[in-house]
Amino acid sequence: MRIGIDTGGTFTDAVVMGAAKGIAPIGLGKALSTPDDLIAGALASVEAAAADLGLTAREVLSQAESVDYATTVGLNALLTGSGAPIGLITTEGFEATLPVARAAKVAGLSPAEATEAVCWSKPPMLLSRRRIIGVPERIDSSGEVVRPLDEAAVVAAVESLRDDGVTSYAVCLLWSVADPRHEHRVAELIGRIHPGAQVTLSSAVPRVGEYERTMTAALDAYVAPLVADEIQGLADALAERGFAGQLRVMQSRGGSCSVGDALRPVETLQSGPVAGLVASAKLATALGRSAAIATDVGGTSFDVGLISDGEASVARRPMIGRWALAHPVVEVVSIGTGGGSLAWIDPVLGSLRVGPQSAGARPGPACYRRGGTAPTLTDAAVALGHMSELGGLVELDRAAATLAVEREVAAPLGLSVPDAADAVIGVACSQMADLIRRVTVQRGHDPAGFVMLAYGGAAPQYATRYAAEVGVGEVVVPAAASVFSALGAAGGDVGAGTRSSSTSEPPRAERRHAWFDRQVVDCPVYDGPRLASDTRLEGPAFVDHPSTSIVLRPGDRAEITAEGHTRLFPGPPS
Amino acid sequence: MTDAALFEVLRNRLWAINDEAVDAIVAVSGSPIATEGNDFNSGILTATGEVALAGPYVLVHAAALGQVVRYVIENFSEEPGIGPGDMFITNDTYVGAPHQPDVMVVAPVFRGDQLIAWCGSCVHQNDVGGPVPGSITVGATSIYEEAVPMAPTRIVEGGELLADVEQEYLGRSRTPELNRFDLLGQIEANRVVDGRLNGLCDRYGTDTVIAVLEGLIDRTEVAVRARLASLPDGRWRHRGLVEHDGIEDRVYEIGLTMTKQGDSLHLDFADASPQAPALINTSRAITSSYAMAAVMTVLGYGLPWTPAAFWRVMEVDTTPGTIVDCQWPAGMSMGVTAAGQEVRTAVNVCLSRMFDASDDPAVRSQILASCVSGSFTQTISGAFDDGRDFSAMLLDGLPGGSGARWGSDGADTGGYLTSPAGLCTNIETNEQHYPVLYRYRRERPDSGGPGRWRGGVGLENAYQLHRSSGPVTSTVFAHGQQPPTAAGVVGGEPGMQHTGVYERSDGAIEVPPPKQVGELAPGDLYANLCGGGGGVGDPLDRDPAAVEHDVAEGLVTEAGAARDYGVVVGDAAATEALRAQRRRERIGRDPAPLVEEPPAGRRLSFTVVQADGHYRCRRCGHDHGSTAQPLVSMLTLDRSPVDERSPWPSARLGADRFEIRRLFCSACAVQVDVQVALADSPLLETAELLDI
Repeated sequence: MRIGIDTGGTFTDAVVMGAAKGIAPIGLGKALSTPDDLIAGALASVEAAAADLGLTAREVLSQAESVDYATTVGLNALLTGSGAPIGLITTEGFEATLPVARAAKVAGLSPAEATEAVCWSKPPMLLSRRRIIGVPERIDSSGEVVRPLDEAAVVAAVESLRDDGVTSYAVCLLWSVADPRHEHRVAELIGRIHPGAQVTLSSAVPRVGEYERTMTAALDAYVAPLVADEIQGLADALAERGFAGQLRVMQSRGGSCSVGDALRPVETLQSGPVAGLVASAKLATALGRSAAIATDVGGTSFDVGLISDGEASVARRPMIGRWALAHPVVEVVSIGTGGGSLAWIDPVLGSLRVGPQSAGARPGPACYRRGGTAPTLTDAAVALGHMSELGGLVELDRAAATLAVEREVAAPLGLSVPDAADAVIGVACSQMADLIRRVTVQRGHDPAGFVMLAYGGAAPQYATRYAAEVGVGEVVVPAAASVFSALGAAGGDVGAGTRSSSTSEPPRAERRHAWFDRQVVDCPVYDGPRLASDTRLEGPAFVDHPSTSIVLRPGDRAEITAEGHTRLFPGPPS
Repeated sequence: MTDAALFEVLRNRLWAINDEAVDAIVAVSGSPIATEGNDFNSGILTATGEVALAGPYVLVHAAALGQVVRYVIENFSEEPGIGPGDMFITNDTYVGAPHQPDVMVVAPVFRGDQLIAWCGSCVHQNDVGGPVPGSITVGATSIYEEAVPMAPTRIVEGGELLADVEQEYLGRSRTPELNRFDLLGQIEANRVVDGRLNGLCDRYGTDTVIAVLEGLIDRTEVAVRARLASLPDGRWRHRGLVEHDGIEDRVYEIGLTMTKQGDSLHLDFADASPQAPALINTSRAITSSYAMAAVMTVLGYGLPWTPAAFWRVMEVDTTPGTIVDCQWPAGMSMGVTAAGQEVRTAVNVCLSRMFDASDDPAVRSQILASCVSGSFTQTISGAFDDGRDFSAMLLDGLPGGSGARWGSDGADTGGYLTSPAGLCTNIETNEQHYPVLYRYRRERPDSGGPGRWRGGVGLENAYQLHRSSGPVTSTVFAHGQQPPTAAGVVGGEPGMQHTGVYERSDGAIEVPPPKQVGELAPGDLYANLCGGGGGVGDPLDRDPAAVEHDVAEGLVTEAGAARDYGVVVGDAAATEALRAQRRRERIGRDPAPLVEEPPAGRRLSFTVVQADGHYRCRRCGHDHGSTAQPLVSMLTLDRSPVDERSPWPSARLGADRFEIRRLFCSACAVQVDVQVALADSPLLETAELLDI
């Protein structure tokens, strides 16, 4: 058996897959993430996934040959500033590489900050300049030693950093890409003077450009101790529960890395979204498509990745937050348009805008009834009747959603609530379509040749609308859409089990009144997991799954595959 | 779809289309300055040549696109005519190109035979011909000795690239291959915009697309005018300085009087020195572009950056034949970093002074001192030992300090205000392409303009030749080596001057004049010391803990802390005593106590209020005297030499032509204003309210 775990901001997901190749029994589990103790959440999710198969966690773990883990611990440390106290050893004379940051003062800022000169600033440095020490040495671009390494200076630097409380070292010397020998020697000296300290060498990433390499080494040193602790903690906890297989961690460049091998903590920073793209690549291959657009609508953002020739494409200028990176990273481009994005009237342009500000999880959309009163994208969908509950967890209050849309959008624009709500969704979907064009059309790809994948909580609600907008002919909502990243981490086959085939007659369904094209329509609501393979559906209709809901607009068609995926064929653009 | 939603959808699409045009340029560009340094821009314009949107790269390029398109419309509409599929190329600085290396390609967008919009881009080229590699001629006596610009010329006709015109353009350059890539990229970018705009017309209707382009400008203009109307009416002044014209070390002055009345902005540059023979001038077109870029970045906070909307609210006056409105055959191959940057600084500083007069704290939080202005740029050319030639413009002068703001320090090594996305290159990149070996790249302590909030510090780089036995030609150009040019505001000090320094292999130190064609031999070290940004507020008001933090981080020296801030590191009592002593020294007696509540009246600035026909100090309540007199005549004046913080200016003859003037309240000694000027020039009344 193989197990995949994906720790996200809200939920931790797990999948357990049978050893047999091909479609096998699969267990899915979800547990609330526990930011203070991520391992507890991970174990709970495995327990839930085991229970899904009627087994205990111990039964599953003792049989599992591998656990693949996508962790968020490093990212959390970065976002909360809780990384290790780091020191940086660099070539004497070049101590300013990090603070200068190539003069980048707007990179990674929000669009609003980027047009306000008083907001411009350098990316945060992760350490004080006092902990950046230059040592005499120099290698030139051809790898020739121009100035030998002054070992006494290295010793003095390490002693002073150690005495200052540094526990983790980044080392970036100029042209270590041409010859890493000085960096290696510095590492040896650190090992001797400060045994047990964590050391990251910039030459681990062979890329010309000292700023990006230094930044990457500093990030790595910053998160490494926490990532190492977490992984060791998970390894111990799994072993206690009978696991004797291989523990691997998902990396930003795409593959998994066995613990103990050359695991680079900085490469775990984006492991969640990357796992989703890895799963997408597998799914695309399974569908016989070499090119796919992966889309994920979350609470605060819309993420897009591209699969070509069966591989997730890699970013040209990789960044995380405001920090530039030197190592290859599977490209995920994002905009701040998600279910929680606020709809508002631009006071200058008079236009209807959606995002980038978000209601977040607290207070959340108005329909959550947690104190939020500002309308969000989710409120627009709820007001139209396109969704009524959130993964069976939260009842959504349509009256509250309607009131929010009425007050903040419909009344100021002199529109009816349904028209206003539809306009909110229209603006959001056009922004999503613009982002999709950015990674396809702008790089010479025609979206019509791609299959689109829609996963993550809210993507299936909007997918046919933004797909139609860019001319994609087929969208696939994977069977395991809600735990897709965990599945990707496990490198799993992407089906969720076999389905009995049906008579192709749609089953009986509940019904709900919803607005489409300015009319109230009485729409069927299907229970997704119960739909047999080959079932064909036509919009308007809704297909509810445990943690997501597929919206079929009038003109959209759907078909359930034997693996339990839902194929969507979008009608014309709305 | 509703109008409000449709407008938003199309607005987003237009931005995405412009991004796509940028991608088309970057994908093929052969110019490392463009791709590594982001020295380019692209925009979409209305049918009449108003810039509706442009990228965040070089903002001066954005305004310049409008000038070029309007020139083409005015001059070519009838003869030879403007038709579908036509494109026009120019690097003519008299028309609008910021300097000759900036090559612009603009194109009309037609819907059938209806002209619906324009688009275009500007990309910095390595070389566009002329006497020297890089096309910036130090020592030219007219534009005939620079790269003679190419007036707007049709290079694509009905979709076909005209081979004869292409040859005429590329044949001028030492790097025709690289320029050709950029040309093809710029042409492709225009084709992309043309295709996409027509696609939008197919789907949403031509009138709708036109209405959104114009609506963006109209609606933003309403907001800009509303903002102006909410700000105090008054007149603010600044005097920029450019020393050395490439031939002799003369000083050129650029005076700005900015008048804000109601909802419009009048920028009067009429008071400027006669034009220089070449190199440092700007045409009226470039002056206007720079002024617009500064207005948009400083006044346009929180508003959409719609260039034409800002263009519409401002009126620019210049006097023909001056350094900011030069006439043929004056040259201007580097005016973009000379007169141009002084124009930006002047506008930036005057707008901040206007903000300082506002009663609204949200407006005052946008007060911004000047960024570095005119730091040393260098081109080098020669050969590697293996025989290959090279020629390069190094971007080491870019990361000077950014200006401080009301409430926070300026970005250290943050670079220029009007090129938000500008970048310097990695050292490894330079060493990979050119025969150089750097010795250091570090932050320059004490270079940030002292203030309650400190200006950002500048960068110091130094390198030697490596694998080249020379000789290598090293051309430098800058201004602000003698007078500090990054002005402070609200009583903040200017950032430190910049300089280049040669340390010859025999140990001799040579400080080049701010324009020089020199030589670099093996073993010589060339150091580029960038200036800092201006400070905001009286430095004696800076929190001592912030000064001590700067000292610990190496951004301020202990000597600098005492000299510039009156702070004795680690000794609060000594700091207090030193600051008291400084205040006494400023006015020659014990300062008056401060009042809890500033006196009532119309606010002129943080330190001065105007009531009952008198200026009074907001800090101590002191009555300066009647508003019938210039305020500056009633303050205590200190005149200091310009080399008090840095030894470099006096390394050149002529530094004593300039002085720093500090103006204090003669009762409480608060620093009201700091001015840098020619020693024999009159004091400047920098702020004045208009009668209501």
